[in-house]
Amino acid sequence: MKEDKNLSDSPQQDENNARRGFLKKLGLVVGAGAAVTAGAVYLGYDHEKKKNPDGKKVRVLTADGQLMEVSEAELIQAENQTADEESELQRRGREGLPGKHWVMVIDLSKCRNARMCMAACQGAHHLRPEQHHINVLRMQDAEHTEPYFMPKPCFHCDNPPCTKVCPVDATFKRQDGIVLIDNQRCIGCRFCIAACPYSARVFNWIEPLKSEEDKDLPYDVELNVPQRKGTISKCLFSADCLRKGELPYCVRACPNGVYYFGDLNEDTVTNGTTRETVRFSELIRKNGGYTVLEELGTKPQVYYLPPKNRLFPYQYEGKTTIDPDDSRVGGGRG
Amino acid sequence: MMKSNSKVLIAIYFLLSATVVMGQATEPWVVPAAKKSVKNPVAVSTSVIEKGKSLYMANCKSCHGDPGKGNGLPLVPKPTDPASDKYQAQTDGEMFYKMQNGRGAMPKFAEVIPDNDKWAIIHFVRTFSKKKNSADAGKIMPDTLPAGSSFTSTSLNGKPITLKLKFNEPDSTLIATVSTLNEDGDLLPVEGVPVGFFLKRYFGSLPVGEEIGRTDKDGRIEVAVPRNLPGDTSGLLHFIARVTDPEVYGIAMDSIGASCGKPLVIVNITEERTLWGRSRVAPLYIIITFFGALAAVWGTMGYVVSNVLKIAQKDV
Amino acid sequence: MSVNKLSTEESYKTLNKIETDLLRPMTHHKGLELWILFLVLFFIIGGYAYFIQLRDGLGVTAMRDYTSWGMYIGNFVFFVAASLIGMFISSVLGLLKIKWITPITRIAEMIALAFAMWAGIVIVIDMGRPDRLLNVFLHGRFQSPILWDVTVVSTYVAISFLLLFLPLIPDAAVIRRRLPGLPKWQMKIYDLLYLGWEARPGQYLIIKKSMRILAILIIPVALAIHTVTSWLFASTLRAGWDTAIFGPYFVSGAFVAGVAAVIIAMYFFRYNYKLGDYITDFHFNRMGQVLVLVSAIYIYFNLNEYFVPAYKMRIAEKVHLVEMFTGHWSTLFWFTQIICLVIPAFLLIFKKMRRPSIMLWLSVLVLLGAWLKRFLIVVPVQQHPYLPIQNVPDSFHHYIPTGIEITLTILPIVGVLLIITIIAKLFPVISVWEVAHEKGVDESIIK
Repeated sequence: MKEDKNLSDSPQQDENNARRGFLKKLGLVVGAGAAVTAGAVYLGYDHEKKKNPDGKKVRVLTADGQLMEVSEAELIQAENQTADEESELQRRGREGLPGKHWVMVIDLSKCRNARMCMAACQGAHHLRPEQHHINVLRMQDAEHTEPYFMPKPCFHCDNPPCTKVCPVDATFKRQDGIVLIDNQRCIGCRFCIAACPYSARVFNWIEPLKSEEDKDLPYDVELNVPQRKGTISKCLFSADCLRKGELPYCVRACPNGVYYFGDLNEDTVTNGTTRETVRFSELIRKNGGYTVLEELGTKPQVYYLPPKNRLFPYQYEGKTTIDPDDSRVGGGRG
Repeated sequence: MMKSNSKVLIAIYFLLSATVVMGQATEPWVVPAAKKSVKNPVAVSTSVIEKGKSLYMANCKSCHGDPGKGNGLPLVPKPTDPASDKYQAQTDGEMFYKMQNGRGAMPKFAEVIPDNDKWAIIHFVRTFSKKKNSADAGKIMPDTLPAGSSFTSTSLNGKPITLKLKFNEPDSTLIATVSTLNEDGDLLPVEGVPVGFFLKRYFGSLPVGEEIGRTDKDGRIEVAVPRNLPGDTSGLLHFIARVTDPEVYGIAMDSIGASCGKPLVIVNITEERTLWGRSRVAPLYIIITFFGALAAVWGTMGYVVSNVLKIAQKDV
Repeated sequence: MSVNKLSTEESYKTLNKIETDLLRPMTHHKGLELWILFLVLFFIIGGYAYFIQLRDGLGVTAMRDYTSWGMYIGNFVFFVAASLIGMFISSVLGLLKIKWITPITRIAEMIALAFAMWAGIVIVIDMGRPDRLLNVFLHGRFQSPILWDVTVVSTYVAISFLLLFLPLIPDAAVIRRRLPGLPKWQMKIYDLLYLGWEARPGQYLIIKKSMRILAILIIPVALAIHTVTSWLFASTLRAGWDTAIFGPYFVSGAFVAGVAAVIIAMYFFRYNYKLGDYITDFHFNRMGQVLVLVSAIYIYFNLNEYFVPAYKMRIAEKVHLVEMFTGHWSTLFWFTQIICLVIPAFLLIFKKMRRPSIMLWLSVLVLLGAWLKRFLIVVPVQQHPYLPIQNVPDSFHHYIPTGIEITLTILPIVGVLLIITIIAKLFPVISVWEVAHEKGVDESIIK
């Protein structure tokens, strides 16, 4: 034990004690810091939930006609109903329509950038003006080729790179081919945005447009409403409409006959403007239909008809040419 | 919200395009006299009008709106409603010339729509002429008017027509028979009635056959059903036949189910083992690698920890 | 051990000196309190920034729909990279029986554990819905590289923890004997950790065998964490990320970052903890050589990564590469590549340059470059998707990090420093028994 001597000298000991005293104070500071941090985090969550914190009473009418006052926190009945409704919406939303394989055909020769599709879509899905489930792009494939407008929804790929990478099955492909979002499941990692080569996905970076008025709506996974902060959204092929036998919002809204939509299993697509119903295979064969960036192997289920014999030449903001910075690859200006 | 949004968008878009054409817009659109007097070379018939209608819907409606409803787009100048007197006052040649050459926001259809189709559109547009309804009434003739036929479009007035649809399995043809009742209550075949055949699909009716034909003297019309049409799981297809010109002939339709389609084999793609599917259908190699590696590493770590804890034992 | 065994008396004398030197920083630490206070203050600021982010959403950052991964993910990759050094020093060099690493293995392990632990938290900071973190375990998809990443990072943390604390067993015994006056809570840790260490040959056998097993085990796991992290990018179809070289490219880059971090830590501990007798110029010289080696490998991978696509200039890659070489990102790119990688590596070839003071600054440059490089790997690629970015506000085209984002990027770095500070306060930063062993001290007296 002789080695200990130099460490247990009394001045040393005092210094140690002093230091220990300081350390205790320091411990308090550290603890306080941790508490503040934890408090801040908790407050954040609390704010998220937006449950009334003051235990407000509400008046309810009972079955035998008596007016009662109940603490709002005890009102679980209504919420359960919403939960039941939601679980049913989830079940059928995740299952999809058996025997269907939805497909869209976009006739680029017809598109005049009217953007009615974008407006209808944003209205249906309660999106902010900068959030596009469908986006009409100004495209030019090569230096000397004609520019054209290209509406771009989600392509609902048959080999979807986005659902591959999702860690929690919050984006998934169902049996009728639609790639959906479950914003009650989504953790907001945004891997799917990174994985999508078509930039089809949008994120709720801030509180969604109608979060306040939508907050009591049961969540419909086929409509992705209510939208939720911190989660993904994207084109859903208007799965809620398809269930009712209606064409998607964008398809119906188009004034120019750009969109055809239908079931690949029926080999039939219907034009949303003219309601003309044609065989999908013939439409594609006769018009040289193609898919975008098919070399990536994603097997898109949105087909394009080339922008030939256009009724209206390309014109955007008064110009008939396209700004090279604005087109095709690298629209981003850095 | 949605409505006002789209209105704003339309307004912005068309104000932009309007500014480009504004200059020329105020001047009257003069058509050379030679072109003005050109007559419509295509004979009018209900099938031509049908064709003109679908072409109008696909190519013209987006700006000119539904004829007679005045729901065209608010461009400057506003696209004329084809049912308006101003529009109908033009000669066929003027209409054709304007479609051919375009001006301002009105596109040039010269190479886009074949000439005969353009004339078909003009025939369709002319059906909204008020003049037609008085003087030219009954002028629309069936495509094939058999010699000696006494058919007029008014002959069926007041008498209901019926349409029966049958499927002839060996030939894979659909046969529709149109008949009407005579004074004695007997069924009489009606000739020259335009009948369309359609296949019922999820969002609409898919026309069967290239063109809309007319019944023969036995009131019969048949159309071949392509053999490769996809049906439901049992190959069942639902066909509809209807008189395509109800204003003239009255409403008549019939439907039939026929198991002549390609049976649909439902493959639930979400049950296959894929990289993009749910966790439950993850490829086996991924599950084996994942859990194998996990077990190996954590197992080894467990072994190490249990070994290390032996340090505490006195006999080590 | 080839070192000559010392006599019993010499053994005691040597051990006493080693113990005194290495344990002194545990009780002598000028300015430590102030340093911890500073770190904690930053923590409070960071906590507030995170509260704002939770309240208002990730919109408080500069990330938008196109550049949807920003500094946070760059930071995550950097953290995973830096954590790889634990495996490199104690496993690769250790298994190669390179002796001089003995006094720096614990420093490397500390860095590894601190960075690996915080890597997980960095990812949580990036999440839009951190309240749903449990979904990863409840609904995890085995096909997702994120699930693999979560798995391997937590596994790596566990192994690093063992590799750090296993060699602490004999040291805990030494601390119990030498510093009995420490606070009770602190003594409890040593009581728990020393496992009744009495320096019996059987105990040595267990500890050495276990460390050897872990040293081997950590190699595939460490390669996995950074390879899987690289797959977060390489598994996508984006031009610039869609490359088969990403795994080894990331791993080689990780060694550069890690070695630089260790050199900085070595310098700090040598001068602040007065460990000049243990962390000598010789060690700096050697680490300098190691930095040259790993940098050379990394430069080679860089050449492959950039030259091969640049030779072909396929359209999508061209847009990205031109922005990097001569466009918007070129200043940062060449600063990172030349000033922060090539020049330090070149200078360190010369022995004159491999002096602690010079190496410190070169390592700071290299580490800064390592961080910037992750940023350049993550951010610019996203600004050039295959289809143009249109009909969105101007802010969607750019990425200029916000104050909150910068604060929450620094927060985990502060967290790493805090963990290292605490470990260095509770334990000797150099393994007492291993150094003693190295110097020929009789094993049986180290208890």
